[in-house]
This record gives sequence, structure tokens and C-alpha cells, in this order.
Amino acid sequence: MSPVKSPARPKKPARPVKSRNSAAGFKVVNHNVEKVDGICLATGVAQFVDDRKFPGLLFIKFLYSPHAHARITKIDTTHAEQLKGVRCILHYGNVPRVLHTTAGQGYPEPSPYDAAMFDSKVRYVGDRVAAVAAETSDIAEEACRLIKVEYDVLPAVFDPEEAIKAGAPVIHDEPDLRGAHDAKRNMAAHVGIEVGSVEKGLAKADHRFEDRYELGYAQHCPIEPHVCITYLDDRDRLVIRTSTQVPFHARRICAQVLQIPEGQIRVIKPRIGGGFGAKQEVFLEYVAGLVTLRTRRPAKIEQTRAEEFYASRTRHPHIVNMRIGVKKNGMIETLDMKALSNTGAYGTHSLTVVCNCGSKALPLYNKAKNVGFIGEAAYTNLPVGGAYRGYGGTQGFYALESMMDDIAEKLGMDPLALRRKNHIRLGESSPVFAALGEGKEGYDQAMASCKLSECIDIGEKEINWAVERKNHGRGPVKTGVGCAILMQGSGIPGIDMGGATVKLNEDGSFNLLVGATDLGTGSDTVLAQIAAEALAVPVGKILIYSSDTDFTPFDVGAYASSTTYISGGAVKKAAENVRRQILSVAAEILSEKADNLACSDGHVVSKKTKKKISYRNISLRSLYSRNQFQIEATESHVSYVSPPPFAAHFAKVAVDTETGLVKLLKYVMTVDCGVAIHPKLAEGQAEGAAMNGISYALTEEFIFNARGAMVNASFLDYKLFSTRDLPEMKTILVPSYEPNGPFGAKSIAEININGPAPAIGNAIKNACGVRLRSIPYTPEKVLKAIRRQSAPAAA
Amino acid sequence: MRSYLAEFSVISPRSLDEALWALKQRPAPAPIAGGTDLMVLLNAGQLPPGAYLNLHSIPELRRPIEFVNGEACFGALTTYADARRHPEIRKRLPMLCLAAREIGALQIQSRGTWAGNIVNASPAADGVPALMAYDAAVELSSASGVRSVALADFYSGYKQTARRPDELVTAIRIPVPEKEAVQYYRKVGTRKFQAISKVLLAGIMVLGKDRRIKKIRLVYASVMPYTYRARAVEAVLEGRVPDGAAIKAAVAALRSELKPIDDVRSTAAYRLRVACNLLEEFLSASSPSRGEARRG
Ligand SMILES: Cc1cc2nc3c(=O)[nH]c(=O)nc-3n(C[C@H](O)[C@H](O)[C@H](O)COP(=O)(O)OP(=O)(O)OC[C@H]3O[C@@H](n4cnc5c(N)ncnc54)[C@H](O)[C@@H]3O)c2cc1C
Repeated sequence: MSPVKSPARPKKPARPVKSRNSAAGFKVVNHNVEKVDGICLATGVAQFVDDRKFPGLLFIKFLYSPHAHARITKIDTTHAEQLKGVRCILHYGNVPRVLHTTAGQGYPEPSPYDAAMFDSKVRYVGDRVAAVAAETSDIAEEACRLIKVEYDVLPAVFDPEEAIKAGAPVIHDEPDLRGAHDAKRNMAAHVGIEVGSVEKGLAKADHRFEDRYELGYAQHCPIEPHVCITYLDDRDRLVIRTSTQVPFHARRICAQVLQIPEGQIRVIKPRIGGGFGAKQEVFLEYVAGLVTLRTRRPAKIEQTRAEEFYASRTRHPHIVNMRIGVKKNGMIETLDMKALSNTGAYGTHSLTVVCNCGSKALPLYNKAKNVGFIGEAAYTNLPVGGAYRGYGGTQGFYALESMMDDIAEKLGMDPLALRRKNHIRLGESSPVFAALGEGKEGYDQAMASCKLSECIDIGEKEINWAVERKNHGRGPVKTGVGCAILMQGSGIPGIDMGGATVKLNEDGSFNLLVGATDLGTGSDTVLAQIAAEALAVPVGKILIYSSDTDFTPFDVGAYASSTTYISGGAVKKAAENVRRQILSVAAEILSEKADNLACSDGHVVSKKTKKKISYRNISLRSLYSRNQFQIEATESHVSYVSPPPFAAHFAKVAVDTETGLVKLLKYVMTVDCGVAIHPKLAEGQAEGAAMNGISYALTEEFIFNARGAMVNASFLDYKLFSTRDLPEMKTILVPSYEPNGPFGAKSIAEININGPAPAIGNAIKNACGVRLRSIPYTPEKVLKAIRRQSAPAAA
Repeated sequence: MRSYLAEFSVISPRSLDEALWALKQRPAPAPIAGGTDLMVLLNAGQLPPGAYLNLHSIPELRRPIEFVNGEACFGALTTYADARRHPEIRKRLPMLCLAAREIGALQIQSRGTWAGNIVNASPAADGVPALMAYDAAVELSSASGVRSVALADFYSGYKQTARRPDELVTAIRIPVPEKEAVQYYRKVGTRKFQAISKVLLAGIMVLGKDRRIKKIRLVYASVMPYTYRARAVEAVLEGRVPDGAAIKAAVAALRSELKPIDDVRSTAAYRLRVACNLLEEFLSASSPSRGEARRG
């Protein structure tokens, strides 16, 4: 507490606490305050996209391609148009052709421009052929059936390894394609880095490991499917009410595809029922928008659950080839990863997801002197990949953390000891940070907070590691434990930007306007807490309004684990700016220097005289009586570091060797997310992500028939874990303080989806000795592996 | 897309006679009990348009579970919830409760009927195997009379049943097994609840004083195109002591008797292997409670 005396620098912020390293003393942050939208959600008052009624609403349905790869030679809509109630039909023959990417990312997007609203070529079963807008959804569906389409069916390719071989059918042969790495080879994206020398490193290593890991398709399955409603406002501007994670990207992409200025579009995101990356895609809004522009009527698209599976976005399946060179003593010297991503028919997020496969996982073992990474993304005639929580990290950590256990076994080491020996620590960096970012080079960074060792220690005790590793039970059901350690990032450095506006009202409350997007994540609450802490008021005094492109400042949106860290940084800056303005008005009133004043509980207090003046009185004066102005600030935040959260995951499983069933008995997560702004919400993020990852590891898969059509596109045969399948779950937040984050915070949204696949795989290995290198660990796979192990001759 | 409702009509008879008379029409109206199978088809637009026969309006069909002459008697509208709640069923026919509590969730259990499960004839039906293992008989009524068919003889192929279109299931009779019977019920599915099984075995075994098998029933679901009683294996086992050699012989017999299906839920190879493992587990079981202890 050394107040700056110099009157020449009145703008210098007064800092109540100079250098912090813990959450101690926070009044709002790090407390489980009531969720700002909790009551209205619980009582059903809060409105989701489809909760508002629009008179004259048109319903839009799509006609999808039954072929995996075909050219449309003729499309006849005569009969469909004659159906009573049909108002508008769109297809490639009557919409502008604007190649774009549906990936809602920073601009210019790192994804190729390979998609048109409708194209004369279809590239997977589920690709869009036409859209019909009608008075009811039944009429729209019926009209879709009445559209006659003639196809010239082309050979299709479903296997990414086949797709990039010479002679494979070329999926994107359109001349106006832009940004794909090598479309003739179906290569949507390619990236490669090498630090040191991988081959020399491997040659010198005492032990070399090489294996191949596979992860398949999965869908996010948010409880609310993609839904949007478009309409014209009083001044003929297009309003898009949509369940999106990226309102500002949605506005930009819709402007691009509809060929109208951004200013003619307003995007509103009301309450949202989950996204997990699926809603980082903009592929419905402009179709509804075009219907509205053509008919001047409100129009709605709401996807069915089946459409969510086959016609929206999925996780990019990956084949990851991993090579590691180690010394006898367990030091990892060489890491080499080659990832082949299957991006499906379009290259949305293809480059960045495959980049993150390496850039998120490889820094974990930063002692390695030689690090290689090649990432490739192949087009295939299958559903389209997109952003999905974990975003490449899931794929990368699966390979890395599975192999770590094989290394430990070979060296006769405890898997935790091997990890302890090699993992990144406080103050350290990794050459990978600078070499590999998202779609381009990254930024070097040293770990300013890291409690990974503590995470491992605490989890080890909680799962009773020493005992459970050796105890497998008698009888046909074998138990075992396994672990995985993880890191992620907080926002995309140098790219992600969030803006926030704070303004003071007469009663001492504050409007907080943010572009950031709450998807049910609780970010509205977390951002309000950050503002409240900085302004020294309770959360109730912060009136947050988010994600409306007409009223809130820009924000890239909810992805890349950025909201708390990046948008939160903007909120903190804006709040601190407003706080300085409040102090200077108070200084006028009290005739004291601003530096002698402090904010406390909605008042400014003189440190000398203890005189108090309320925010209300400060506001009334500044708005109505003397030297009038609106106390208000807009601030933006960009970060050139992306502080990783860290976690250690521990799984205890029971493997039934007679049926191959894997039962997850206990799951322990220890997580360092810096200061948890709202510990309960942070735990919720951790547990939700882990459940998602557990389900992906054990049951979720897309099953395709020989024509490339998904045959299990419903919850009947695509099995998500439900609450009844929940294992005993324990989440332990291990506090640290991240100096770059708002009030010490880092991210927690994604990291915990990456642990279950390797941790459970390692536990299965411990329980019954079989190593599985592809998920999901279905009973069929497990039983087959057990049989092969017990009867190697018969294999 | 949902079916077009105007294409459907529902007959609500006020007596069983009226219902049986209505069933004489051609084509015969399809009975609708809980509707938990039929309504799914309706919503998917796959239910054939036409007339349907509402069973809820028929007083004779709405009767509670009864025990007569050592048999439990279910009516046409007996639900899974009815069975789960019944203390005698819980005690004397425990596999029915095990089956009932894993079917759907509470809503489906309160609505879905055993008769509907039988007539729907899904190879993965969860209610049928336990009934079949207990030697249940299906009472079929029509305007021309009443007959009884053993559930084990009810199916002859995928969705092929002994029921004529003019017949209504009016009762299911389930003999209570011997006190000393060893019962085994195990469903293997993708996840614990609300999952269609990959393999299910319901078994009953009665051992004589000499430890020889006096009676055995082995009923598999989800393995063959219909709920399947493995009679050849039963024949191999009857009269033998269930020791290692008998188990080996039984597994060998099962391997040649089963021709498992391949579908989205599992593979033929997996089904065969697990069917054999479950049989082994059952035969080596010594106490009646073992089946329950090892479920899931
Ligand atoms: C969400 C959900 C979950 C489910 N989970 C399971 C599960 O876990 N396991 C499982 O086995 N099933 C499950 N089912 C399927 C269904 O619930 C059962 O098959 C149920 O027993 C059907 O009974 P119902 O009375 O609803 O049949 P209905 O739908 O009314 O009829 C089914 C068929 O039986 C015929 N029928 C009905 N009653 C008679 C009668 N008395 N005489 C002659 N014919 C008749 C009908 O004409 C129709 O063909 C589930 C269904 C849903 C929707």
C-alpha cells in the first residue's frame, strides 16, 4: 500500500493490493455467489431462442443428399412450389455463390473457404441440397420430398488415409476454392514443426516407443439443438436470434454470405442450452436470413436430434502416430507426433484442431530437446468436423498419456514417477509454445502459475493409488487404476479479443455490457463477479447484458477456454477505469486527492478522514449537477500469453473379463485453474467436461453403413452417459494464482474433457493387462483384446 | 416426420366381446395398450394408417395381478410397474422384477405392458426372456374362442408370432418355479439403463438331490432374430451334474446352436462369445442370488 503521491499522474490506478498471490481477501471473486440467471432459468422465465413467438413465422426444412459424393445434374422444384403453404425454396440455382467457411473464428479465418450456402455438388450423406420455407414444418418437409433431384453419383472416400493417396476421388475440385492446403490430394490443412532433431534424438534414445492411436466421431449433443429465428426490424435490418457461441462472427459470416454490410445485421444470443463447440459454427443463420430477406417474414430453423448428428458438426476423428525416445532413467528426450485429422466434407477448424493436437499436448513434457509435429487434415465424404471442447487437445493427450504408461511399464517405473520426472513446472517454458500456435506460430510463455505436482500428489492419495495399482480383485472382474495429466490454454494468444463496457447508474448499480457469450456456462455470473470485485460492490449491483451485436462491444465469443481469462480481463479493465472515474469525482466532492480515497462496499472512503460518499451520490452529481458526464468506460483485452490450467485425472475401473464391460467405479480430478472465480461453477465445468470425456471414451461412436450414412443418429443407439451412469466423482480444485489473469484466474472449460480416454485406458491396462489404442472402449473391443492376449496363437 | 393424424382412427370398445367382434374386421385393427412401441412409430411417421383398438376402455382387461393354482396371472394391461410393486412377484418370480426395473425409465414402466412387449416381438425385448424362462403361457382370445400357447412356442422368426390378427392377448400365466430353483438374469448393454441389450440371458435350473439337473431353461435375447430358448443345450444338460465337463459340453452345444445376429448394437462374434460366457457363469453359479449380484 504505497499511494502514489505525484499529482502529475492522477490517472494512475489506485491499487488496493499491490502484489497478490492468493485468493485471500476477495469479497466477491472466489465465492459461490448466486448465479445471475439462476432464478429465471429455474422458473422458466428466461427465454431461449424458440421461447419467443413471432406472428407469421415460416418454418424451414432441408433436403439432404442421400449420396456421399455426387454432382446434382438437375433440380426440379415445380411440385414442391405448388404445395399449398410453401413460400420459398432455396438451392444452388437461386442463391448467390459465396465460398466461405462456417467456422466462427478470428478473421481472416484459418479454415479454408470451401463451403457454399448450396452447391451443385454434394460431398456427404447429409450435405444440403435445398431448403424449403413454409407455413408449417410438416408442409416444409413434405415439399422437400416433392423436390426432384437427379444426381451423377461419384466415387466416394471415407478413410482419411485413403483420401490423401494419389488417385483418390477429389472432393473439392471447385476452381474458386481458397485456403485449402492441397485440394487435389484432399488435404485441407497441413502443418509441420521440428525443434532439435527428432530422428537423431530417437536414434540416440535408450528406448524408443512408437504406436498409433485412434479417436472417432462424436457429437456435442447439447440439450438444445441448433436453432435460429430471423426477422426484419422496423428499419428493415435483419435480426438474427440464434443459439450461437459466436454472435460477432455470426454477424460477419452472414454479412459475407448474404452480401450485405455487417451494419444491416443484428445478432442476438438469448439464453442457450449448451454448445460445447457445436455452436461455434455458422451454417443455419444465413439460410434463415435469406428466407427472411426474400419473403420479408420471420423464419425459423430448428434442427432435430438426428440432424444434429448427421448434418451439423462433430469432433474431428484423428489417427495419431506417436513416437517417444527416453533415457534409461526415464527422461524424455524426444517427442514426435503425427496427427491425421478427418475433417469430413468441409474443412471447418481443420487446421487449428490438428495444430492443437500437438500444441496443447507436447509442451507438457518440456524437457524433451527434440520435438516434432506434423498435422494433416484430410477431406473425406463423411460428416463435417468442427470445434468441440478439447479441440485437438483431446486427441493429442490420448496418444501422449497412453504412451506414457507403456513407457513406465517398460522401464519398470511407477507411471506417476515418470510423469513427475518430466512434466513442465513453474517458471519453465516449452519450445513448442513459440513454434506452434493455432494455425500459425505461437507465442513463447513461461509458466507463471503451475500446481501440477500438487495435483498429482493430491489425486494419488484420493484414489489410493499405491494400493489400488496392485489390487485387481479375484474372479472374472478385474479392477485397476490409471491416470493422465493435462494442460490446456486460456484463450488464443494474440488473437482472441474481448470488449466490455461498464457504466454507472443513479442508484449505484452498473450496467455491464459484454460481447462474451454465456451458453449455460455461467460466464455472465463470473464476469459480473469480476466487475463487482473491481468496483467493490455486491454482484447484485452489476446488471449484465451480453451478446447482442447492436448493444455490446465486440468479443470473439465463447471458445478456446477464453471467456473468463480474455473477456474477464476486459471486464476488469473497464471496471477499474470506471472506478478511477468514480474516485476522481469523489475527489472533487471531498476536495481530496483521488489517491487518498478507496472504494469499499458501494462507497468511496477517505483513508485520512474516514469520510464516506456513496456511489449513488457520486452518480447523481456526475449525471445532474456539476461537471456533468456519464461515468462509463469501454475496454478491450488481448493476451499474448495463454496460461495453461493443469489437471491430473485418476480413474478406477472394473473390467468384466467375461463380457468386456468396463465399469468406471471412481473418477478423481485435481485441477489447477488459478483462482476459481466461482468455485461451484468451476467444479461444474470440470465434472461436465469429464462426463463428456468419459462417455466419449466408453460408449459414443458414429456407425456408418457402406454408403457413408450414419445409422445410429439418435439417442436410442448413440449412447451418452446419463446421471445414472455417473461413477463416484471427486473434483478437487488446487488453487494457484495466475498473475496474467483477472484476479488470478485461468481457464477450466476444456481441459477436463481430455483426461478420461487415456486415464480409463491406462486403468484398463492396469486391471487386466490389455492396452487399447482406440476409443470407445466398447465391450466388443475389450473382450476381443482380452481373448487375443490370453490366446496369442489363435489371433 | 410425424404421421398424419387424420389417417388414424381409434375404436374404444366397452366390453371384451365388442373388442373381439371389432377384431373380426379386415384388416383387423391393431390393439394399442401402453402405446410405448406404437407411439414411437407414429412420431417417426412409420405407423401404418388405419384403425386401432384401444384396450384401456375394456373393463375385463383391467384387472390386477392374481395368483391362482401356483401360477401368477397377468392381464392384458399389466404394466412393469404393477409387477415391480407386487410383493409376491418380487418374492416368487424375482427375474420379472429385475427385468421390469431395467426397462425404460419410470414413465415407460408405468405405461408399457408385458403383453405389448410379447406381441411387439422385438429380439431385444427385455420382458420376454424372464417370462419364457418361467415357462409362461400366453392366452389368446378371439371371437371364435380362447387358446393357450406356450411363450416358448410363440415365436418362429423375426417378428413372426403365433398370434392371428383377430386375437388379443388376454392373459399371461406364469407358473411359480420350485423353491430350490437357481435363477440367473443378466443383461449386457452399452450402458446401465435405457440401453437396448447386446446379449441377455435368463436362466432357471433345478438340481436334484444327486446334484443332477432336473430342469433347465436357457433363454437368450438380442442374440437370435427373436427371443430364443436354447433347447438343444438344455437337452445336453438335463440329467447331468453341472460340472466342468458338462459346462464344456453345453458351451460347445451352444456354439453350434446359436446363429447370432450382427447389427449396430454389436457383432455376431461378440454375441456368441458373451452368450457362452454367461452360460458358463450361470452353470457355475451355486447360489440363487448370484445372478443378481453380478448384473450390469
Ligand atoms: C423410451 C422407451 C424405452 C423403452 N425401453 C425398453 C426396454 O428397456 N426394454 C424393452 O423391452 N422395451 C422397451 N421399450 C419398448 C416398449 O416400452 C415395450 O415393448 C412395452 O412393453 C410395449 O408395451 P405397450 O403396452 O406400450 O405396447 P403398445 O405400443 O401398445 O403395443 C405394442 C405391440 O403390441 C400389440 N399389442 C399390445 N397389447 C396387445 C394385446 N393385449 N393383444 C395383442 N396385441 C397387443 C400392439 O398392437 C403393438 O403391435 C421402450 C420404449 C420406449 C418408448
